[in-house]
Amino acid sequence: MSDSSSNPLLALAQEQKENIFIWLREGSDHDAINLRLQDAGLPSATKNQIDVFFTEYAHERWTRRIDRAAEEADALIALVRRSPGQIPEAVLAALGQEAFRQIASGKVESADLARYTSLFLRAREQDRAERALDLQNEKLRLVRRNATEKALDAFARELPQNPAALEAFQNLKNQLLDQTDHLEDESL
Amino acid sequence: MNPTTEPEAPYTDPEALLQARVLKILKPCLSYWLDEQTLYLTLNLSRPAVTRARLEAALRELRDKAYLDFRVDPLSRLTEWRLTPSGHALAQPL
Repeated sequence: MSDSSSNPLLALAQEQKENIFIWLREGSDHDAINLRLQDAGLPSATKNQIDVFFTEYAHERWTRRIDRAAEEADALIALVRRSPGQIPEAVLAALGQEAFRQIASGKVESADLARYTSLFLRAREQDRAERALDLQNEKLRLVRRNATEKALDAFARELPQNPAALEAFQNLKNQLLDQTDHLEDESL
Repeated sequence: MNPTTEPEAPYTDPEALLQARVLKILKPCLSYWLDEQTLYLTLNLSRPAVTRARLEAALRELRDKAYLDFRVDPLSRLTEWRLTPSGHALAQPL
């Protein structure tokens, strides 16, 4: 490994090293890197120093990612566990393994994975809230329907023993119940 | 990484050294399964290069000694490896 004192890029703060690495990975050439270093108030570097930096930092970054993949996967499971609703342990284990695989193989950055998971959990929470609201509306509709039916039945019992009036009343009752169902469907 | 600045390995046998490197890579993975391709790439980040055949032989030997578990992931069809409890104990000082 190169001595970091002979290569100023290797002695930079972690965030600065990460930025330079990303610039190089994006395809920036030696001149572009030096312009960016200048903009960031950092000393310029030779082509050789930049090449050595890229090789060594890429190696270090890869190793660090594998070393930390298990911690990141555990953290993701903890994040999901904190979300409302019970999630089966087998699902959590599968999620952890997939997160570990993606991070360790370098396909996904752990921060991105955490962001996607947070978005998924938020969407899930919203979906659960909407389902709860639907259930509440359905319950309310049934309560109102029962109340209407009971009130009309009570009224029917009060009717004198008149078959024609009773028939007219039954027709009115059915019509009203149909209308109530129709209105409730529209409001849902 | 330049091997001349690495601490001197206590292994003189190159195959034992390779097995130690495999254990060292798998150690931080804890109970998660690491796929063989990532293991191979990690071993080849630095010299000396490790061929597929050598890696497979090292993995087989470690598995036969019950230091490693392996499985084929049903979805990705990748062969994956992890340390057994005795493998973790062996890798502790690495």
